[in-house]
Amino acid sequence: MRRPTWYRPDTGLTIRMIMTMVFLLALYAAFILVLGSVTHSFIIFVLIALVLAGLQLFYADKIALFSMNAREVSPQQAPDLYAMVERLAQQANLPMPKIYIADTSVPNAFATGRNERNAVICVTTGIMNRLNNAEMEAVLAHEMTHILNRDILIMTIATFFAMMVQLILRSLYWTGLFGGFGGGYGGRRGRNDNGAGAFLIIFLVTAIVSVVSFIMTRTLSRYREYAADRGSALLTGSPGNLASALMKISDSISGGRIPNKDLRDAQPASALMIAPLAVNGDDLGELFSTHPSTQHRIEKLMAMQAQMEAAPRTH
Amino acid sequence: MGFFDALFGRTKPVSPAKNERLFAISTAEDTLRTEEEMQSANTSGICFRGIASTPFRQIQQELEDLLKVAAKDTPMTVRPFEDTLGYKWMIFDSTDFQELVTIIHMVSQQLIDEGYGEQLLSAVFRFNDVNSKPVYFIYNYKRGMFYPFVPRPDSHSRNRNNPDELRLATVLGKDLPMEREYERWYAMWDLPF
Repeated sequence: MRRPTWYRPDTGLTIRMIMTMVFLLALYAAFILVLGSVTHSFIIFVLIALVLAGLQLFYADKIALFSMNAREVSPQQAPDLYAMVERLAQQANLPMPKIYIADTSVPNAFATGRNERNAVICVTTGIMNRLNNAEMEAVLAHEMTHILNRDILIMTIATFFAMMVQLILRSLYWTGLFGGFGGGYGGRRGRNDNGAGAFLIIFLVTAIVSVVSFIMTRTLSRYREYAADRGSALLTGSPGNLASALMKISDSISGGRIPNKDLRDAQPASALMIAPLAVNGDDLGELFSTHPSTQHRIEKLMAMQAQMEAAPRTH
Repeated sequence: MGFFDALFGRTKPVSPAKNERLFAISTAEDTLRTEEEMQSANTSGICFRGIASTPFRQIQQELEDLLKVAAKDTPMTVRPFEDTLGYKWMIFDSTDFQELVTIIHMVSQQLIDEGYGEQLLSAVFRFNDVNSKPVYFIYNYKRGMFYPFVPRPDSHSRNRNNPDELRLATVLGKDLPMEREYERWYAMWDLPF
């Protein structure tokens, strides 16, 4: 049995994702090796970052739901939503996630939870009012794919390293500022007059690694969004439904508002929203954002539709 | 979904449709008739997710035409249906239960052969209990498992008769590959038959 082409994974996307992951791993490994050859005192930051990442994995869902003021709904309270998600869960062979609704006019949806057993899908009343059934289902299928792909876990691991590097960078900054050169970072240095130079190099290397890892985790996040878009199209059988939903959502979100959110504030939970609060159309802005621009996402979805139309008969 | 599939977000269609275990419902029908006094309601359906593309629509059309031709020589009838959630149905009526099973297997096999097996959601067989109340057996293609679905008569409240469902699952435990995870006994409300 041959599969129609559009069923097959997007090889280009997979390759780019693998390359990003390999690059990130190599970067962190090299960074730790270099740092480890100079001093061992950074181990404490690895531990702190580990604890933070662990907390994030277990509590990010609760924090996200709390900050959205979302409440869990029962099948009786939201029968239509349940019916939709149940069918999708069946289709994706996943256990039924919990359903939360947040009372806000901002149209959005996100998935959270560390694994498929603890998965939660949250939608806002704004998105429910704005989208029709087919579009709503496409959005839910996008979130379902995030669960299927274990995106929460993967993005937490990816941001764990970025978080660690940032911690080290900040501590280096304060150490440098207050002249603690002879302190924690001088462990293996032979002579003190070389200290300042070595410190500066470590500081610069850490800064560069921090920026590069930030951009790369964001890149990874965007690839995973594309993957979730594909998954949505596979589950619903119609890329057009998601494309149309994205158009409606982005119209009402990026109404020229200036975001209050800190750019460096990498949160895996919010990273899995269907559309972030501000997506820039320009490519430079996209480099730093968790989601591809709506325009790029729609282009990909339409390419998928074209593939479906051209699917040759296999039988 | 393997580790690497998840890691690289490949979202290939989750699991190939399992078609073969469908035939188990034939033995179950025998048990239901003799031990539970439940009769086949002479109707059953297959539910799948359509694809918004011309090739898929062609396949669907061909399949429907084929079935209509095939139905001419038998007392079987076929009717297509689309439910409120956007899923497609093919509903078959026949007094011969074996024929219902065979035709549903044939349709799903056809979709699998065309490469669209992942679109298959479920096959639903309706039985009537002694009071002519519906009792459904749902076959999930992803899992290759059956489970019972007994909606309460006043189905507006969307209540299920769980005690009956659990009992039936035990009665048919030997005949049917029964879904063990109760949380996957997904309801299917407002069934078109």
